[in-house]
Amino acid sequence: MLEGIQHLGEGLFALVTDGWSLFHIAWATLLGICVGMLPGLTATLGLTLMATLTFHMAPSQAILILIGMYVGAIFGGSRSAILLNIPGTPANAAVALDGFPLARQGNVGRAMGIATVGAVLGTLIGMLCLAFFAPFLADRALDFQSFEFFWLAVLGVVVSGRLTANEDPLKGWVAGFIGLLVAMVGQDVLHAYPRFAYGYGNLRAGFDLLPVLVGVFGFSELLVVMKTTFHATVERSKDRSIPSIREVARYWKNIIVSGISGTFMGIIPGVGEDMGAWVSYGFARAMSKERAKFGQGSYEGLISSQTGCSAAVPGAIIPVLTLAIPGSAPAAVLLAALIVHGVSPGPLIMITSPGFVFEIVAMVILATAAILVFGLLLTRPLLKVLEVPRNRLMPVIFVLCTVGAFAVNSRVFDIWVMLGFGVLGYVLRELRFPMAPLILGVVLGPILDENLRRGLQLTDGGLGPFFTRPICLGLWLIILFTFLLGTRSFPALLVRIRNATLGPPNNSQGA
Amino acid sequence: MSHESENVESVSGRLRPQVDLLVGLGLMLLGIVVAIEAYRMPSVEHPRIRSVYSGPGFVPGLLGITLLVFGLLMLIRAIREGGLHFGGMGGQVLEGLRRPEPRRLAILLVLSLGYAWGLIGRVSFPLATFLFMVAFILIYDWGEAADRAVGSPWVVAIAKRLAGIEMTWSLRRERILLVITSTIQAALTAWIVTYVFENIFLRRLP
Repeated sequence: MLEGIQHLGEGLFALVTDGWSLFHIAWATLLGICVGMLPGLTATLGLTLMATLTFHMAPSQAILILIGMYVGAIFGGSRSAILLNIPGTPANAAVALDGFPLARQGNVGRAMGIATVGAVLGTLIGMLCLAFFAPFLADRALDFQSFEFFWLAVLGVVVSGRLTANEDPLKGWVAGFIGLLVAMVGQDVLHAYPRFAYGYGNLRAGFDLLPVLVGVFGFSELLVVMKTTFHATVERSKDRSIPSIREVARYWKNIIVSGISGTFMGIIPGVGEDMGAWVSYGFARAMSKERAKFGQGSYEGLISSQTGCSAAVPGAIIPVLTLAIPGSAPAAVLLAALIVHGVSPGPLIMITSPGFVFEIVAMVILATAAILVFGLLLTRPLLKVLEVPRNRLMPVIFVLCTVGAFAVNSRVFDIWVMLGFGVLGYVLRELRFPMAPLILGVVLGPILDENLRRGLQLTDGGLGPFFTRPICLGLWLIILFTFLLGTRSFPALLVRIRNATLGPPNNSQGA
Repeated sequence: MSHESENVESVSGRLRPQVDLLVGLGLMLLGIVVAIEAYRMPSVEHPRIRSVYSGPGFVPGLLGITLLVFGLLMLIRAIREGGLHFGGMGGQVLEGLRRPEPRRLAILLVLSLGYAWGLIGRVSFPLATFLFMVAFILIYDWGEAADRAVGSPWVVAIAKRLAGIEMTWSLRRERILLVITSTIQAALTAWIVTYVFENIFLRRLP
């Protein structure tokens, strides 16, 4: 623990005393806020573009920029949720529920101030968990072998598929498995056999992760956004936007509960910020004495949802660093960027580079400080961002998608990959397939492939260790349960069992 | 604030079982093709591959089978929900196609594919970007400039009837402005992106 604090102190000191680092975190966070604010530009898109554009920078600077972008975008989305009733990123959907009614009642500045503080405190709680849990998880690092990694990869795809496609889990799983299939293209890790390459030199190397991401989250989102026309009216801010300490302190219970539940939702593979916000909102509503105010303009609801989604950011980074399994879609991009920059996250990270986790924590602290400053001081100037016409912005985004896809390897093939996956992503979106499991599949595919085959080679085909090792047992039980809960008959069966043992539920309490 | 996607969703929402049926069939086909291809990959007969499960086709084969099962599940579910009733589907598809969305989408696809496939690599990157940007902004903003000229669409409609002359003048002004600003924006974007990539990131551009 002491060693951790020392690492964190060193990391922070190094960042704060380096002018370039401060400069990078400042512009990256500000840009992140703008990206988050603009409906149609999501945190994932911002991170993907940044990952390609910073590809040739020094790893520590590039990662710093990505962290700033990530924290900034998830916070920035709250602005448009409050002002337009349109969440700037999907993560902020719950924020709009109470934020927009508050804005309509003339409390624009106060609502944005409260949301800012919520975001800052949420990120800080999540970050504390990151600093505390990452080393703890890493203590178990050496228990993770091929068997565990195989199940972890399956778990990521299955859980993400279940939770991102709530009304139709089957589509979530299909998306995840299509992602896994995409990852199979190219030379396999064990024998270097070019799968599904059919003699094409470019396919031999497989699809590069970043152009695929730019396609799925950049180009396909562009197609979705430009399909419809769109006019927005922005609520005007007249009141002051810096809340007093007493105003915030009233909600301390909400902040702590939302911070922890948000972080936890972040940790679950592929679930992410939006669920963090919804779950926190749900808890706050259940705990509240003024439940009727929720949805009509409740500060409790507002601060809980924003705290929840911001806490999920460091939460989602925890499994990225310790298990190399992304907690959310933007975290999947972060993971991809870490890998291309030569940092190999995973259980061994506390052994190979023990300071790195704390460097990331220090970066999150700086980004949080930046959103506090920008969020409170630049409230009104930032509103101008919402007036940027969409027809002017989107072609620039497409040019950046093209250049970004190309910049990674200087291959024109990557531009085609970007376009192809953009169209595929668009079609899948229209058919209501969620994108997060798809991307998780692409990231986790190689891990699943390598570890399943290595494991089977070790056991000479025996399946025993896959099911009996303690961590494996826990993992496959969760997977099985997730699958069963996604079917229609199993939850009905559970209800029937409960009714048979406890008698029918009392409907007045059921809601 | 208006998102027009709700109506589109209701059109595709009504057809959901039918669409899911086709998607299920497609997935099954994909699963079968992948499984066959995986089976054809080298296995134990290859000197370096010692067992069936370490061969390159093992995991793709499993994935193919899984997709086949998922496709089958979707198919069964879609049939149960009435996916086999294709009557009236043609009319609903036509209704969907008559909406502005497919046209906007097609324009965007032509523009972006034209840029990435047609222009890049044939003409210099800054010129390609400039042409793309100007075309994009003009095509999408040309109609909306008319709205901006007077205000909201219904005001436009009334203004057209009542004061045709003034209306055309303000529209013409709005469009001249559009051409000028889009040219400036396109030139700036092309120059900045090229400059940043070649001189700051020191990268080659396509």
